[in-house]
Amino acid sequence: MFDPKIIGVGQSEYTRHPTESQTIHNLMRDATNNALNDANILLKDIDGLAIASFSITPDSAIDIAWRFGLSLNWLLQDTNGGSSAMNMLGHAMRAIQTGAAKNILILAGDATGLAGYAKIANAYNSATRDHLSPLGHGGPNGVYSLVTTRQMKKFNLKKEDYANLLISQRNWASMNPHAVYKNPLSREEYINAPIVAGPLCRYDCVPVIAGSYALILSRNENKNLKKQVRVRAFQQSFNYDNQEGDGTETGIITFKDNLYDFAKLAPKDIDIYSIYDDYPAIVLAQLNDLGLIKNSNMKDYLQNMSNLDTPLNTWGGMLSAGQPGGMAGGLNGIGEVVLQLQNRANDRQVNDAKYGIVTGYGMTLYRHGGTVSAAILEGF
Amino acid sequence: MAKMEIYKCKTCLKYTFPKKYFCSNCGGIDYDLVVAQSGTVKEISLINHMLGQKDWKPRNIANIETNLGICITVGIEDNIKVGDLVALSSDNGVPIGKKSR
Repeated sequence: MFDPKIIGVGQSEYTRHPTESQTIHNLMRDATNNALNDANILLKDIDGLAIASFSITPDSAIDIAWRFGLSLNWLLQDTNGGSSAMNMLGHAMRAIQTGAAKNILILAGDATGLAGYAKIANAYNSATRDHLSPLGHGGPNGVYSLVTTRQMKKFNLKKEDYANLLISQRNWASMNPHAVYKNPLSREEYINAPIVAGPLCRYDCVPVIAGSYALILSRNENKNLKKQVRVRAFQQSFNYDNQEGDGTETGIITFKDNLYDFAKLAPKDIDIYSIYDDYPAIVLAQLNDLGLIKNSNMKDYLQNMSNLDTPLNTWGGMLSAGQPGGMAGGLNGIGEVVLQLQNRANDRQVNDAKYGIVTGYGMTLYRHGGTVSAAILEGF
Repeated sequence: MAKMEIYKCKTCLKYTFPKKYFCSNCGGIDYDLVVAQSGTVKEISLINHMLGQKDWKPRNIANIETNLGICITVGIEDNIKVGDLVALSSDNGVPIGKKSR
């Protein structure tokens, strides 16, 4: 069995307003090129490709392989939304372990534009198309507005309690040159922001952007780097509650103990967190399910989250840096932890980070997301 | 407007919505349709903004606990509040809640 390592990360420009030349294929090319340079390998060294994107239609993974000049032994196209990045990482990891491929490019991105995103959101699945969109539910914003209200009731939270999470992520984003929103966010701005779907305001909803992100997973080390990164534990859950729960918990509760047991670590050992942030309430739900919120006291957790004290979503998360499709947003979270564990996060660098948790969450079925994944990454 | 129908597993009597092809409880594949006549409003969201639409008129959606015990997402009239009992109906499979009279 080979020991897979994440040897390179790369991204394209992230933009709210793509130019004519910033097509999905060009953005993916840019992210790939940057990841190859970072990994210090050549395009011809890639023998596996995993890809996730709404925007490449009518193309498929094999079209991208062809257009990118890749001859492969292993190919995957993932459609699991916010969990795609993690799903691809898991499959790619096992492919490296078993020798099915030596160097796998994991690639995601989107350039749907607002109208394209709205079209996707309104027909995300048959349940949404048939039973939610005709209500004018506003896409996932409507679904998670109800989940957020349930979380507020269950955990005794007020709308303004969420402000620190957004302010903290925006502070981190200010040090990420790729983030689309870098200006500081004040508490007043958050509290007075226009409501999109009550109680969610503008800052609780991810800005849809065009962009792409890439990782390279390999059986070999990157000799240019002083520290390597491996996946120490990896767990997933799909449709854990048949949409019968209230959405304030996630499928993480089915595997939390396994995750830490496989890693031989405890929540206190984790130095940095990339928690999939499609909505603030879902960040809190995942953190809580991972045992990272003491006594499940979300109010205390949020109150103590000021400035840059909490190493959560240190790239700014999708809420500030932008969501280039949930798939690439998920990859960006993984890539950020890789950079942090390798002491390559520049101004955002967290001191002495050795272990990081990354998650993916998504595929809103009817009342909440149906997929969730988590991994513990180790720098060594 | 038609009656709001919920699926009931013929084998284990579990209710579900939308339709499933296997019952998650017993694996059964046959369902009866049962009318959900009413429900209690648990949460409401006013949808103020719709992505990609400039002339959007805000509207309310709600999570309703039906009289059969399962929760569904419905469109509701403006005068409905959390805790209200609503009469349920269906507009081509789309659940609608109106104030019980």
